[in-house]
This record gives sequence, C-alpha cells and structure tokens, in this order.
Amino acid sequence: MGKIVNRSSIRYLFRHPWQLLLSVLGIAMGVAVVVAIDLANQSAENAFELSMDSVSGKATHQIIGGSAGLPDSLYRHLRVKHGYRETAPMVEEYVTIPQSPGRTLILLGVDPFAERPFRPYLGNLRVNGEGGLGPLVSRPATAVMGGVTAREIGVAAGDSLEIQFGPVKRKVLVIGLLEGEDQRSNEALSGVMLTDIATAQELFGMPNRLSRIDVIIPEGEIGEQKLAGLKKLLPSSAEIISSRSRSAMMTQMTSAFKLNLTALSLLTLIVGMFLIYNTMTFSVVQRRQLIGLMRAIGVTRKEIFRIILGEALLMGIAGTALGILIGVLLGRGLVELISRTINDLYFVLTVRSFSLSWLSLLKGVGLGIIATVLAALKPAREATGTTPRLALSRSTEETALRDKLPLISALSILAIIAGGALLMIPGKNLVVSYSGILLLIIGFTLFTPAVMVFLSKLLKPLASGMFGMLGRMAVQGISSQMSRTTVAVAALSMAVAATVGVGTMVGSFRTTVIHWLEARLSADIYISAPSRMQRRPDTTMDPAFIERIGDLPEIASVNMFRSLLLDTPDGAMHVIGSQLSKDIFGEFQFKEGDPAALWAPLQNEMIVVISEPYAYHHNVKVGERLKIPTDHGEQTFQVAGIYYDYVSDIGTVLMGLKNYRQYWDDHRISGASVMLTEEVDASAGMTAIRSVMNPGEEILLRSNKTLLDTTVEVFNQTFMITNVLRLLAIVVAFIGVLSSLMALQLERRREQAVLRANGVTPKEIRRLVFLETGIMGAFAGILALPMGTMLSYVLIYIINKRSFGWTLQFVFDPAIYWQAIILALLAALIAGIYPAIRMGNASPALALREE
Amino acid sequence: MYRYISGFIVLIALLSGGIYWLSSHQTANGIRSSIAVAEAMGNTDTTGYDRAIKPIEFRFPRDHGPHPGFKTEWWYFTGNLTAESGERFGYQFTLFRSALSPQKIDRNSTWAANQLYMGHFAVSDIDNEKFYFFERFSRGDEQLAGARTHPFRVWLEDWYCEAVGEDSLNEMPGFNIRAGQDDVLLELTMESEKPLVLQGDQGLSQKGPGSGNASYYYSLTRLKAAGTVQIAGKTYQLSGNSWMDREWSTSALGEDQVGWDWFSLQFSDGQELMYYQLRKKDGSADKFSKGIMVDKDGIGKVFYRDEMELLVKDYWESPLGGRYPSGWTLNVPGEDLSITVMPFFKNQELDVAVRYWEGAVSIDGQRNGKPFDGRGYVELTGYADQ
Repeated sequence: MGKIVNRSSIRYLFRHPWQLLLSVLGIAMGVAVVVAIDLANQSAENAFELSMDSVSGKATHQIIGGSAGLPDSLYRHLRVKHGYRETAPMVEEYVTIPQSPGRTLILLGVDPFAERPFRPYLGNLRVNGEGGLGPLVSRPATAVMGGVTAREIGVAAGDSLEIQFGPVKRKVLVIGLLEGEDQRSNEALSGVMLTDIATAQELFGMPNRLSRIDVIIPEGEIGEQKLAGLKKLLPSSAEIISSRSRSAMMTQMTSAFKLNLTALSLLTLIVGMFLIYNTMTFSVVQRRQLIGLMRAIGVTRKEIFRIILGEALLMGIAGTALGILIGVLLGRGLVELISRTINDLYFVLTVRSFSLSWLSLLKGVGLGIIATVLAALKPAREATGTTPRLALSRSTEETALRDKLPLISALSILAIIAGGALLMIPGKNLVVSYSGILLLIIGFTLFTPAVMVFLSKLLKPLASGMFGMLGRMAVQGISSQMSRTTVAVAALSMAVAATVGVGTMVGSFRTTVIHWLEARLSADIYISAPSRMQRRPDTTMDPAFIERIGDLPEIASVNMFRSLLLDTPDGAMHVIGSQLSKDIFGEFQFKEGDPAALWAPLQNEMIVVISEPYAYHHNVKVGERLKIPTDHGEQTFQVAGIYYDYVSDIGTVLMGLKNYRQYWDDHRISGASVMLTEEVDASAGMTAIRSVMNPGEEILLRSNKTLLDTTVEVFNQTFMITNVLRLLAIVVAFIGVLSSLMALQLERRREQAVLRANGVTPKEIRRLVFLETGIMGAFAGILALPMGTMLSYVLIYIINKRSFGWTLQFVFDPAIYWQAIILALLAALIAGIYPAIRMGNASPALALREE
Repeated sequence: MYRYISGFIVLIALLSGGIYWLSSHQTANGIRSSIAVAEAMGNTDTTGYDRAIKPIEFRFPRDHGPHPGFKTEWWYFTGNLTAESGERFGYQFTLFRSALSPQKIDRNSTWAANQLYMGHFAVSDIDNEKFYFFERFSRGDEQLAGARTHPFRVWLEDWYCEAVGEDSLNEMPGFNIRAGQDDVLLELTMESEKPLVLQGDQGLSQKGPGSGNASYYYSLTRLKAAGTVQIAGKTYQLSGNSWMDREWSTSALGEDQVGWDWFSLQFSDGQELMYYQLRKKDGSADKFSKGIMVDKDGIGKVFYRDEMELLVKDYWESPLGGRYPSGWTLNVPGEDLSITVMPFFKNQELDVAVRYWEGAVSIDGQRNGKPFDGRGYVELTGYADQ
C-alpha cells in the first residue's frame, strides 16, 4: 500500500513539471542568495584574517605610535637593554603598482633576523648561504613578493618594478618570489611585498621611524608581568594594544554592514518560503479528491502527513542542492562587491579571496530544508485534518478562511504592534531591530486576506462597469479562491515592498549626501594624493607643496586638513586637524553648536567638534570631555559641537590644525582645497598648482563638480550590493507569483471549460485570465505601498541610525512607488501568459471529461 | 518514495563531502612558503672578498678586531669551570660574523648593514647532566650587533666580549664576556696565562685544496677565568680555564668535506692539545687535518694527521637524528702520549639553525708513562641528519 501511495505522489509531482520546477527554483533562489551573501561575507572575513595572518603573524601585541610611528631607538632599547627579545620592528605602508591598476599590496619592511617567532613564513627566509636573501639586507631598494601576484602582473625574479604610495613613485628590484605551499598561503602572500627594514625606511622617507613594534607576550602571570613592565618603558606617544583587540576593532567596523546584508538575504529566503507554502497548499488542494479517496480506502492520516512532508522534503533537498550551487557561483561575484565596499569605507583589503566556508554551506542546507518543511507543515496538517468526506469537497478551504478572517486580522494587528514595540526598544541591537521588522512584515502580510476582501468589494462594480461580466467574474474568482490567491499576492507584495523600502532608503541616503556635499564643497579646487580608500584619505602630501600653492598669485586662500586614524581602547578614532577659512567652516551643518561661534576657539582652545556617527556610537554629548591619545600622551578635549558628516561611519573628531600640530609631531597634509582669485578659472588654477608640484609625484586635482560626481559614483558603488540583493528578492518573488498564478489558473481548467461550453470564446477566456492575474498584481502593488513606506521609515530612522549613526532626510520619490506598482502588475501579467494560452486553446470536452 | 529521498540524501551527502574535502584543503594552519631567489642574487660568490692566501704578520690589537673584508669570522670561547661549592660547568660562547656583501654601501637608514652576526651560547651543568643552549642573529648595524677594535668589543644585542682594559689587548689579552637568555646568565673575566699561538703555517690554516681555501687562525689555549653563572635563579661563583679561538676566512672547506671533529684539550700538567680532523664524505679523515701541542711556556708545535691516531670508543644516537662519536682514544706516538677523551654527559647537542654537538669532556692520559688528567671541549659537525 505504502508503495502505491508513494508512487501516486511521485506521479503527481511529475505530472505538474512546471509547478515542480518553479517551486524547486524558488527554494533554490532563496537558498542561493543566503548562501551567496554568507559566503561573500565569510570570504571577506577570511581575506581579512589572511591579511592579518600575513601582516601580524603570531604577534600577541603591537606597540604603536602616533602620527609618525615610533622612533626605532625604542625598539633597540627594549630589545637590547631590557631583554624584550620576542619583538620585531616593522615599517609598513600600502603601495599600489602603476603597471597593474587597482592592485594594492602591503609593503612590510622587516628585520628578517627578528622575524622567526612572528611570521614563520618569513622564518625560512634564509639570509646567508646559497639561495639566501643576503642582497635583501645588503642591497638598497630590493624586495620580495608573492609569486602568484608577480606572475599575474608579469614580473619575474630579477625584474625591476615601480611602486607608488600616495603621490610618490619608486622603483624596487624584485630579487625573490614567495611561493606558498598551499592555496591559502598563496592567497595570503598575494597581497604582500617584503623588504628589509632599512629599505622600507629609505623608500618611505622615514629614517629612524617604525610603523610599529610587534610583540609576543606569553599567556598567564609571567606574561602579565612582562606586559606591565613593557608598558612602563614606553614613551607617552606610544601605546601597546593586543593584536586580538586590534583585529576585533577592524571586524567591528564592518559588522553592521555585514549584518545588514545578511538580513536582506534572509528576506529573500522568506519570500522563498512563501513560495513553498503556496506550492504545497496547491498540491494539497488539487489532490483533495485523491487524498479523500485514499483516506476512504484506509490510508491513515499519519501516512498522508508523511507523504506531503516527504514531497516537501524532496523539493527542499533538490532546491537546496541547486541553491547551493547557484549560491557558490553568485557568491563569487558578490565577494568582489563586498570587498570593494569594505575597501572604500573601512580598510584596505589586500587579499582577494573566495573561500568555500563549510559553515556557510551548512547554513544554506539547514535553512533550505527547514524552511521547506516548516512551510509545508500547515498544508500537510490541512490534508490530514479533514475527514474523508470533507476532503472531497472543494469549498471547505474557502469557508474556513472566511471564518478565520477576523482572527487572522487580529493576529496581524498583534504582530504589527509587537514589531513596533520591538523597534521602539532603545539601544543599538540590530538583531532585535530586524526581528521587529520581521514581525511588521508578517503583520502586514496577514492583513492581505482582509484587504483583498475589502478591495474586491470595492472593485467589483468598477470592474463590471469596465469589463462587463468578465470583469465581475475575474474579481469574484479572486475573492472566492482566497486560500490560493492570498499567498501569491502576499509574497509578491512583500517582495515589492522590500524594493520600495530599500529603494527609498538608498534614494534618501543619496539625496542627503548630495545636499550635504553641495553645501560643503564650496572651494574651487580640491587637492589630494591618490588614496586607496575612497571615503578617508590614508595618504599624505608634502606640506611644503601646500605652502608653495598658497604663495601662487592665482590662489586667494588655502584650506587644508590632516586626517589620522587612531587606535584607542574604545576602538578606532578618526581625528582630523583642520585649517579652514571662517566662510567654509560656516558651511558646516551642525546638529548642535554654532559653527560661526566655534571657528575661533577651535583654533586655539582645547575643544573639538565631533561628527554625528561618533557622538552616536560613543554616546558623547556636547560639553563632555574626550580623552585622545596624542604623540604627547593622552590629552583631554571638550566637545563643543556635533556636525553632520556622511564620510565615515566610524565617526570623526575634528580640531584645529594648530591644535593638531601641537599634540602630534606631524606636519603632513592629507588634503587641501583652494579658493581662486576672481579672474582665474579652474583650469588655469590647476595649471598653476601643477607648476609647483614635487617632480615625479602624482597629485589629484579636482574641481568641486568633479569631486561631487566622484563621490556620488563611489556612493553608487557602495550601494551596488544592496541593489543586487533587492533585484534578487524581486526575482524570487517573480518566480513565486509565476508559479502560484499558473497553478491557480491551471486548476481552474474545468471551470473555464464550462464557460467555453456555455459559449465564452477562447479570446474572452484569455482576457479573463489576464484580468484575474492583473487584478492580483494590482492588489499586491497596492498592498506593497504602505508596507514599503513603513519599511523605508524603519530602515532610515532605525536600522541605518543604529548601524551607522547617520541622520538621513526621508526623501519621498514617486518614481519608486510607480515602479513598484508597474513591477507588480507586470510580474502578474507575465505570469498569466502561459495559462492564458493553454486555457484558450484547451478543448472544453477534454477538460470536462473529468466530470 | 523513501528510496528517492534516501537517494537524494546520499547525493547531498556526496556533494557536501566533496565541498568539505575541497574546503578543508584550504584551511591548513598558518602560512607556509618557500622562496625562489633570482639566480644572479645567490650568495655563494666569493668575488670581491679578501682571501687567506699566504701567511701574514699578525698585529695586535688590530687583529683582535673584525676583518670585514673576509666573509666569515669568529670569536670562539669554550671553557671548563668549577663552582666554589664544587659543581662543575662547561660553557661555549661564540660570536660569528658573516658578510652579506664585500663592500658596505652608504645608505640613509641606520639599519643598513652588510654584516650578519650570529651568537651561540651553551652551558653544560655537568653534575645534573643538563644542557642549555641559545642562538641569536642580528644585523651588524653597529647598534644591535657589531665589532670594533678601539676599544675592543664584539657584541650581539646584550651578549658581548670586550677587552678587560685597553692595555691588555696584546698577545696575552684579557676579556670580559657576558651572555644570558631566559634563566641562564654567564659572566666571566679572563686573563691569558700564555701568549697566543698561531695555528698552521704561521697562522695560515689550510683547510682544503687550492689557494685561498684557508683561514687565518690563532688560539689562546689557556685563559684563567673567574665569574658567575646563574641558572634558574641560583648563582654559582666559578673559576677555571677557558680557551679562545680566533679565525677568519672567505672559503675554507673543500667540496667533499662534510664536517669536522675538533678537540681543545687542557691537561693538568700545564700543556694543551688542539686537533681538528676534517671528515670526507666517505668518512675518512682529510689530509688537511692537523693540530698543535702547546707546552707549559706557550710554545706550539704543529703536527699532522699521519703523526697521530684517533680512535672512536663509543657512539651516541641523537634523539633528533644522527649518530655522533662519543668517546675517543687519541695517540701521538712521537710524543709517547696516549689519552682517553670522554664527554661528561652524552647530550650536549645544539639544536640550532645548523645542528651540531659541542660539549665539555674529561681527559685521562699518560705521557712517557706518567698519568695526568684534564678537561676540554669537543665540537662535532656534519653528523646531524639533514
């Protein structure tokens, strides 16, 4: 008996191949997006860890200095005088390779003789004897680099290679290639260039300075004593931080970004779950007679339940397997986008790695199969819940749904209230916020049947007026088959709402940033060194060059700033020392405080102004005191104002350049802008500036218009991944709508045959089908608008604020709303094509034979 | 139905297994690599370096200091000491200099260097049969490591050897040495009891065939040493004898020489014996093996391999691989001298970049029928498995 029952199940599935295929595809897409995002996140994390591995190695701690690193005498002092032998000096700098644009390497200037305990991959860097690397130490401007990278850019051992850092270009002789023993090692080494410490000091023009000192401190009491002893020996400009906390800080910077991506990917899976639920419901509804028959001849409820769940499981497994394959392929593309965003916003990733994380795939398998089974539970219960006689009846479902309508609507309100309450909980926990969003979405979705009943009633006279009997029939058809139509409409409206929400959020973000930039960019020409990061300059220029610009007759005034990223026990702190004219500073938009009144004291007094994200992340208010580690020890500044800033979500602390130079022994300049005299135009100004550049250096000169354009471009790049996810959610929803509408229409074959038999023409049948799907699409669109608006509010005012600390203006863009409705209609109409053709062409006699 | 499901599950399991297999290969621990150096960058070339071709006139204090024109050089101290409380110790302290290029280039960075220094330091706690050894490297940037003549000092971070006083830096010099790491620290002051002896042909010690395959080599065979050793927080007041070898060269060993057995023996009758036997690939002794016998007044007499007989009495298997000779009989028929040399304990192997055995030995001997004893040091290289 069991065998026959199983066979009937298989037969059923294969007799509806389209439905089967679309369901599997729906699950596959949901799983694929989740897996892809997870893989891409993991790969970015892995790339980060690999680069940390190659750069920090086994160092447990790092001694870091202020703006100009550390004096190298400190290292010798610690090592020789105080016996801290598990130490290694390091000069590091990111360099680009002009002959291979877009590639960034980290150049590590090391003392090979101190390396063994730290970077074992350098430990076998034999310096003496045959094949040894003596020349790396004894010959100036020599380097070693990863073999894979060298081959990619066409460099062999013995070749000369040009490198660039900031504006400066230098040539190094590649005397050896580092070949990893496995893929992981090769990936880690692909971002590394290695020189002797003397060479690095000479290349970067920092004799007697180190970027940092790596330290290994053993665990336990002895280690703590050592650490305490070491701390006492450090000058006030230096501090020791643990590598773990440093890398945790870096990971922390990106965690909100990654969490948001994961949340978006889960949305796709939820849409996918709707799809499965829908498919399973249909398969149960369509086999009502069969199930009733089976029950009548003695098949138990348990067996029926097992069959339905078994089918779901089967589809789940197939969909998951397919989804993982697609996800891996998709992930490869997404990791590129994610790495780019991390690079633009947070820190330089020298390693580009795609790794198949076992855990990510497992998550995909788990989510895919569990989601399928969960979605199928209710249909399976329904199939077994009915008595044999009732199961044969078709209207049971509808009556049940109608009866439950008040209950469902009550639940919906409850979910919305609960979601709202969760979102109201103050704090910065994103998981709680997203749970709130999920509840809101569920709440809105549960409203679907009630809204549909309401809209149908509203629409019926209108439809019959416009399309006559067919119009009335179409509306009637939708509302009388609520159990089937609701889910499809809900899934579509959810996906469309997501695009409205995300679209409005991104649009608001862009508009806010552009407005802010337009107000801020009031100078004529902007001067900077090429930087690897888009949002925060991490390169500097020669201050003498800026001085020479100031002396040019074409220049009316020069503004400049120095930007420095500090490691503090509280996390990263982005300090800006800024010398701005009163006019330009006056353009700053302040949340609290008055720029005009703050301009003078900012130059002379111990005060700073902080950006909004900084105030938000660190809970700092105006009037409070901020401790900042400087080259002359920790200094206390008073916070005098909070300004709007959309450059960095880490947040910035801004002070006068004079103050900066008093506490940091650093006169380099990160960026400058100039106002030209009346009669000079931008291109003449640029020519004048170029004439005083240091020879051989590369400096970027941009007009405020170009700078605005580039910034907007960077912005668009940053949100590329968000848009990709939004698109994917629509694709999944589209598949869902396609599958459910098709099933719905196919199921109504007999009904339509009756119509045909009664004289309705094939053309009219086709119109009926399109009318029905079109109306459903319109319902989904209408439902999506409030849900999308709600979503965009939550994304802008809660998620974005809690993730990044930015206040955005809500910008209502009617285009997004129109697009949403068109999208929903289009999806629905396309879904109607196949059923319309089949229905129209079907022979009524054949369809009626079932009778 | 269930057959299909189990089929799918097997499929998934296979797929997952495959992916796991693929991914597990990528997560091997740590970054491991090797390096391929451009051929022209090899470091074996001897062009541009000074060579030991003919005997020279040694001048002091100049020749106590470094000879950076030669590729390799060392200041090599060994010694046997006894604590006031009776415990016996042996020590080795060596500073090696190795040139990375013949000439130093003038550069901006204070780290710039063309010399590499390596230090080996070992203490043998004879009564407890415990062996402590340390190795360190540094660039010769004159700050972390370096060597100079005025005032004489060779150092590698906080390990050093320096002249007791500028006046002492003649053919009977005095030195202070200090070396320590972890919980072992040795500080000694020593004074030469005999003038230095020139090894080989007036200080030119031929090591292999061909002109220039030789070193300049002199020894201080009996330095009176006193000082302290600290081991694990316990301090011992020591006195005893030390031996110092000074050697510099650009290339020494020939192609088929694999290592050497080197003996520095201090007899209780006031004489010393140095002998090194260069070993060929087939295990036989090379004809360039030789030694010197130093009498009570410090007069040295060179003798060659065919004038003496070295017999191995015992062997020791290193737990790290390799079998070392461990106990010898040494006969010099022309002197009517026969001695037995035994390590105080077997495991005095230094597991350093190039693994070797160097340890304190005890001596029992007879000359012209008269018995004597003594202590010394033996170095065995080229036995460790590569």
